[in-house]
Amino acid sequence: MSDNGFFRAAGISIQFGGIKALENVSLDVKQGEVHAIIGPNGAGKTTLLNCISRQYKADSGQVFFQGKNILKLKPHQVVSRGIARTFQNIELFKNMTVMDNMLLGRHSQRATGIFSDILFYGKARQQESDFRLKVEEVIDFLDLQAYRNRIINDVPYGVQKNVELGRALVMEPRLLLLDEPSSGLNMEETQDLAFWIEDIRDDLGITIILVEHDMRLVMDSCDRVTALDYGGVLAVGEPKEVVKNPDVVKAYLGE
Amino acid sequence: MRFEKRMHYLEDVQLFRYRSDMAWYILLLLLLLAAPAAMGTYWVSLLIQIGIYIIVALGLNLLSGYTGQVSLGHAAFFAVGAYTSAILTGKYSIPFLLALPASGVAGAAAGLVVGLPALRLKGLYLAIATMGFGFIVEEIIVQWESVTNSVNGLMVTRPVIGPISFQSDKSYYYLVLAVVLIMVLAIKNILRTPTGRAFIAIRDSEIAAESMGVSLTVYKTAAFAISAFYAGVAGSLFAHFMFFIGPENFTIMESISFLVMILVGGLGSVHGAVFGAVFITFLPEAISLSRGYLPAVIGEQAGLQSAVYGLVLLLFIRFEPLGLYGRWLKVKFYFENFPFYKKDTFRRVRKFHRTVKQ
Repeated sequence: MSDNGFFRAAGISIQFGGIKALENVSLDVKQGEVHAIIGPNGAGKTTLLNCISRQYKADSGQVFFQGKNILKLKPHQVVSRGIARTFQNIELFKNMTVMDNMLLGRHSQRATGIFSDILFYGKARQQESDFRLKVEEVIDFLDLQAYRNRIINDVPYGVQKNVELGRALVMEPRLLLLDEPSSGLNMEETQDLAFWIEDIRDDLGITIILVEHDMRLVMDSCDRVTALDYGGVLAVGEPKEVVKNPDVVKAYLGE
Repeated sequence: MRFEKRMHYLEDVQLFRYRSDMAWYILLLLLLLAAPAAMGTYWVSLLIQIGIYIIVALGLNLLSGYTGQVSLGHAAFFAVGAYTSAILTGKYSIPFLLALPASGVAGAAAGLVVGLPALRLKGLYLAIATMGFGFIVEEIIVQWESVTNSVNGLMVTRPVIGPISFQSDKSYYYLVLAVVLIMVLAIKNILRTPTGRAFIAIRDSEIAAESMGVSLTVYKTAAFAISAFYAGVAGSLFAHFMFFIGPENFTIMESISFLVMILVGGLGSVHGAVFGAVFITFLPEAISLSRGYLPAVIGEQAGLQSAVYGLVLLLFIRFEPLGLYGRWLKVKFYFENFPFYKKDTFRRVRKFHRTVKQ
């Protein structure tokens, strides 16, 4: 597959009442890169992510993923195309265990219907076992062994963040959208995250788009950066270039 | 304290976690099998009633407890099942073994009819809509005289399957017991597979469920259909148990008592449905027994039962939101971890980091 055909959002606009949250925003992501979206508060970063994962309905524009327009799909259909995401304010299933939360990540891979589930025999049984095998792999990857059977409500915030990342990884996506993965994490947890991001890209071969405020994380582990402000693109390029871009500096620091 | 050593992934979802659990459940089953021999007819009929209520409560719990969709119209699905079975076996002489699942399917079809528009409603509004459906069905029963015989009701006979007749209460008890066991097993299987997890996911966070690939449309309607299937099957058993059904069996009061069942028993647990069914069956008995001892002003009030339902509901929501099953878990925990029980073990932890309201 050619690089520029992997993911391309073009001319995305969305308006909430009189506020133009995004105006003609384009985003190109190459396969196998970690692409950061930065910008001051209210720039439209999360809105862009929500448009891609179809939580919001973009007013105009196109999003091509592996050559297919995904802007017409329902949110639950986007997942089966291989796009997983996490949320800024953790959206876990609070009354389920860590294990069950991650098992839900396999939902899009289910091969059984409701009726064979009721019988729980043969294929349904095997599937349940296979799902757990995959979840255990991710639990090992993210060091979550100690929390396997704990209810989400009883686990610390940092761990919840990891569970959410894990739940997305269980889906075996080709593109992973992370919405502020480091918010609320301490230094050590952020460092772990930086390593994991590299591992996810290099070992699991998953392309990542992340919205991030922590500039150190962006500088260290991202390949390219798109800077947004007031719903428009300010700059695109390597992290080093983008932070020196006068428009970006102005957006963050003022004149 | 018990320690677990698991050797296989499926041990996570086996029906009995420990050998001892299995032993206890087998003992319970043996007791249930022996019960009619040791009990009078009155008690057996109460047990049958409990069995029928268990089936409704299992279904309603799947919908309200697990999927988070409140229904105040379950008496309607119950009625659809009861009338389907009564008409099929009575008018068309279709064997009971076919009429029973057919009542479930009829209930499920009614569930789909309610479930699809209910997709757009949440919480209280859904409760009102389902309650409205309950009134509609009640009214249809009264008005559609050619089929339902209006307020005069329908006569129903006890089923005969092959050479076996279930004419007596004691034999009918075994039929109900068998159906209850099948229904419990089915719901257990739903809950340990992707279907059940999707239901719970919808309850906890619709946004996250959707981004896991769970189609809200499919699973919410499925929850309604399965839940109504349970109510329909229970309705069929109810009709053949009562010999006679009329619109007064399926009022809003019945819907409320179903809801009380799962709230008192414990939302979101299979045990809870069973506890709740037992509780709701014995409560009216206890109330009518206590009437004699209460001062005449209270004891002779017609609304005593509704008042007690309301009071029980309030007290449970305030002091034991997890219901009888929650209490049962606490007692079990106390004995399993004997010297280590602390009052705070089950206290709900409040968290404040969620900033966005759904």
